[in-house]
Amino acid sequence: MEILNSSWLLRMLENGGSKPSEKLLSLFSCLETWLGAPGIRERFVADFKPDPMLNQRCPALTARLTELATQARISRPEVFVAQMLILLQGALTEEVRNPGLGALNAARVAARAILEDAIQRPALKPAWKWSGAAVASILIGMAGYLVGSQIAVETTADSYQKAYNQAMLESSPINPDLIAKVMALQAEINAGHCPAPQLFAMPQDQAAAYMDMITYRASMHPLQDSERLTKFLVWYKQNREWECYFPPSNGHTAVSWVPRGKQYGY
Amino acid sequence: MATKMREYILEVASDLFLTQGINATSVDAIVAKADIAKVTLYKYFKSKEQLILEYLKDYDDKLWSILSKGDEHASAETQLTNLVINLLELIGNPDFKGFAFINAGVEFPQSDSAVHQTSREFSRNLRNQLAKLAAAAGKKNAEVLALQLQMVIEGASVSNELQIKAEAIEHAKDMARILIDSAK
Repeated sequence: MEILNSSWLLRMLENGGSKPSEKLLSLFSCLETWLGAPGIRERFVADFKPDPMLNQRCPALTARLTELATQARISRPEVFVAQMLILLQGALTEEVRNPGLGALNAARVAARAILEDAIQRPALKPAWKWSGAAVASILIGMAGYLVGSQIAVETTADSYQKAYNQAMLESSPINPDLIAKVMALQAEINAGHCPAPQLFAMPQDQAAAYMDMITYRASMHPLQDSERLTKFLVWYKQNREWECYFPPSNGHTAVSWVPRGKQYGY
Repeated sequence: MATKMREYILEVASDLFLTQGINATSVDAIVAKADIAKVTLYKYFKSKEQLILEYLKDYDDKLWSILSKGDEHASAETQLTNLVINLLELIGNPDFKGFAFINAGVEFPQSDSAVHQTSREFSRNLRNQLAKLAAAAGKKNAEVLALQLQMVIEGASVSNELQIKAEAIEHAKDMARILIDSAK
């Protein structure tokens, strides 16, 4: 099921709708489209085995779905994504058994019901029956909750982004050593120790491969991109590296480290 | 004695089928595990295929006897919920090794094989039972609800790791309740 980890699927999700919830639910229709392509279903049925849970096997997809669920203001995004993947697993099993009878579509409808329930969850209705001070205190409480949850949402979104980036790098088909080299160089550039490469001065394809890597975009042509990145590293070494300046690790510099104090005898 | 021997062989075979998979279990392995002569096995079961079919049937009987427990006089909706929750709890049991009929259906993908046919029959029975209860509970799209519930159940049943499975079962129970509740 390498489709579930493919960048194609992630791109299709982006085109699945304008709202995060639509993008989330489009997972099912994307896979239905995919299964409808010539020859795919036969291979899918032949390769299918009831493997461990999807969220264990598809880090990039899970991270992206969790991100979307967070944006869709779902109360517990991880739980919703886990449920969605359970449904997907069931739908794929059913699809193997009874091909083309709309299992994925039924799963999408079910996921929508779960999603609506998850968004409605913070039940506020009984509050309207109370009067005066009670309502005011609830409003204050709600405001606090909203601000708090916003902060929570932002911090979790950050950590999801990190997890997502990590997963993208780990699932990348490019040689991990090469990735490590490029990312190490990028860390030096970000830290201000080395100059950024001048993208206009280098061959365009190398610039594209390099930008894809440092912005965690999946490579569509891993073989060519590996070659380009290797060439890029050589180019950088020859043309830009001489400008790198690594401050001494003990914090001393030639300028500021002048021994002072009576103990030296001056 | 004869039925006892038959049951014993079936039990040993079922255990191996469930833990190792059907294709990976040879008749030799069953014979070795049961410590009997191969001839004895073939005396009770004509072929490996017959053994598999018996195993699936036996499994099905046991499964339904567990699932049908509960209040018979409750409303159809409660019965439906009970059925699904019972099933999920069964799956959540640490000894559970995957539904025999799902595993068998996947291991025998050729739709003309008898095992595949039997495997389909079991899942159809489950679906029919779910649909019957859903219809009795006044759900308009009983068929769709039954399909959704079945997908929830099967989707939660594939994990092997205990911790992950326990979580999945809880998620699946929540989903089943929401789906039954929200279906019109």
